[in-house]
Amino acid sequence: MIKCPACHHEEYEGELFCSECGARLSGPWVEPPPTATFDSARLREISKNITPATSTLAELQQGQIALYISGAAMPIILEGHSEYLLGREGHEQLVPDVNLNLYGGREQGVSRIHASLRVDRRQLLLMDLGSTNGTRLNGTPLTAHEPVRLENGDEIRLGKLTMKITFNF
Amino acid sequence: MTTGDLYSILGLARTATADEIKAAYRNAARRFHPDANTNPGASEEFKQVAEAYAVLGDPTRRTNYDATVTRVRTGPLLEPHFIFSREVLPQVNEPQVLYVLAEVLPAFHAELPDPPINLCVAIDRSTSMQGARLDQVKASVLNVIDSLRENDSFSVVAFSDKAEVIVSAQQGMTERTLAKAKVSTLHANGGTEILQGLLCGLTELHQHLSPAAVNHLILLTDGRTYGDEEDCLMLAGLAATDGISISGLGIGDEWNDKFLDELTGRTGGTTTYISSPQQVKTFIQDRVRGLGSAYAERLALQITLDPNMTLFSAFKVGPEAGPVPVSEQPLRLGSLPKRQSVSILLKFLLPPMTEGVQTLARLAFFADVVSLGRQGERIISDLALPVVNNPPPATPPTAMLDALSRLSQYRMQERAWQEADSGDIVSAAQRLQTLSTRLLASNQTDLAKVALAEARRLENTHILSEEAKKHLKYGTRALLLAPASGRKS
Repeated sequence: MIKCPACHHEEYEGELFCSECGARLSGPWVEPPPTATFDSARLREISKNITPATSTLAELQQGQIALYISGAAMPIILEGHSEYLLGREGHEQLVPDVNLNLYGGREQGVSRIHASLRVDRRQLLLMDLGSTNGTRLNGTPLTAHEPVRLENGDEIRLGKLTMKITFNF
Repeated sequence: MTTGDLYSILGLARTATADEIKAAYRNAARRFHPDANTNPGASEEFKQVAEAYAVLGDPTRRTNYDATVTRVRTGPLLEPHFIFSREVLPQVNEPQVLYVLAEVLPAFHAELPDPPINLCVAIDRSTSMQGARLDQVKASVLNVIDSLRENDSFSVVAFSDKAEVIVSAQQGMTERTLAKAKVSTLHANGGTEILQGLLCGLTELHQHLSPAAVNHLILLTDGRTYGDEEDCLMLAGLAATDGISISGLGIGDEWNDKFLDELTGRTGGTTTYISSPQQVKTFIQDRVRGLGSAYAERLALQITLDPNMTLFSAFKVGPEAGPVPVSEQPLRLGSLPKRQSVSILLKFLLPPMTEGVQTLARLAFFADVVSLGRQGERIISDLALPVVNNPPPATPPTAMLDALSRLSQYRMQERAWQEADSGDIVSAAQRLQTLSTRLLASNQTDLAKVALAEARRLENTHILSEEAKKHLKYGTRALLLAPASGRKS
């Protein structure tokens, strides 16, 4: 089997394109994988034309974080704390700061205590808290309890639940 | 499957020596003997080869056979070409995938007469066709009537919940004016039952069915048929056996694309999507012109696999694009135009192999070369590649990369709809978004926009838009018609 360099999906030896994400697969016959020709500026421009109504970075006030959960019409805005717990409400009394039950978290494989967001000197850190189905940052799985720095516009995936994050620090 | 030329069954020329005949038989027997090969078609292939060898391997019987065949061929009439995703296979201890772009061209390039066509147009006259749709269809059919030649035969049927013959099958079109008047009076009424239209249309075609002609049915519909899908598919299978191909035209967003693809695919035809009625005319004109300029008809590909090889999928990439079902052999490929090629992309799964030359499959193309009045033409090719431990790196041919990159985009939209249908909206939307970036990277800005808009729409409303679905499906499919496969002579 060979692994897709972009999304880590496994394919048969000899396959040339990833069936999951359409990326050209590297193989013994390919020099380094071709640089992505995807022009993000152009895509942004297109998506701007299509969904002009969603709030953008400019509208976030200093210190705010916005989570755009896939399938939800409005983003979740976080502010005022230095740490937020992402998870879903279980039988225990513990209610996470961001309760993903409201977004189908249970069906999507979000753990009760799944991950945390921490504000640290103008940086935003994401850490998986040993969740059952794992956390991915832009497609790459995270090691539990190892914080990683987030960039504006990153895509986070808790279990199967996907969200985009933007912030204004 | 055919009582073709015995030499062609062994893949030999008429001038082959006794040793060559023996070697060809031995080689085929080793690969296709029922004890060694349980793949479908293998024992049939073995039987044919054995029968051919029983005659050609015996000097007396060979002389007799040669004497009975009066016409000595100048050479094969079909010319196959193959492009592989790998020219040398690595020796690995796991299964591997191999893609083969198989292309067949007319081997005879001189000016040839146009074959006669035996055509039926089956028109959906359900209420939804009322107005511009039916008007455009009628106008196009009137044009066809004007363009018919002396030896063509033509009929028109209309169907809603019942079918009616509007213009009965006739040769030479002696009553053009009457036929045109009848078509002009068609009006819309009722539901859509495709089975009725198919039955009626095929009956008309049978009146002038000829192995020397192009027998074809054009099905025009804008709606869904309910409950009779299985019967329609069975009927399409029978039509294919009789040498009739069917092409479909879906107008608007309501029709069942999956069903129509399957129906036409079984006969070697393809389905086209048009969003506005104004495109009907172009489609019908092109279709009829294509039929009239065929080099060969009923092109089919019989694939007999070597032991442990698997044929995964087949996708026709020229002159039209569409999936070809591999559940039934031979694969039907429709008609071969005079100055073009027919190309099909095959995906094989190969088992772990030892070093040396490995035979993979025997591919036999069959066709009736209608422009030359020759039926049951057959040419066989054995696919074989060297298996080497650690072969030097090689880049796959550009034509192959282009075709596969576009096929992967087509497959992505296909999977997105499957995910959406099974309720996994999040994955579907994500896949459409990824597809959008891939389309953008290959400069398909319009399709990229549609994909992205549909991803957003799915996220927000959880409901598919049939229009976007058809637009993306037939749009990404059309990309597969790469100029690389359109070799012109």
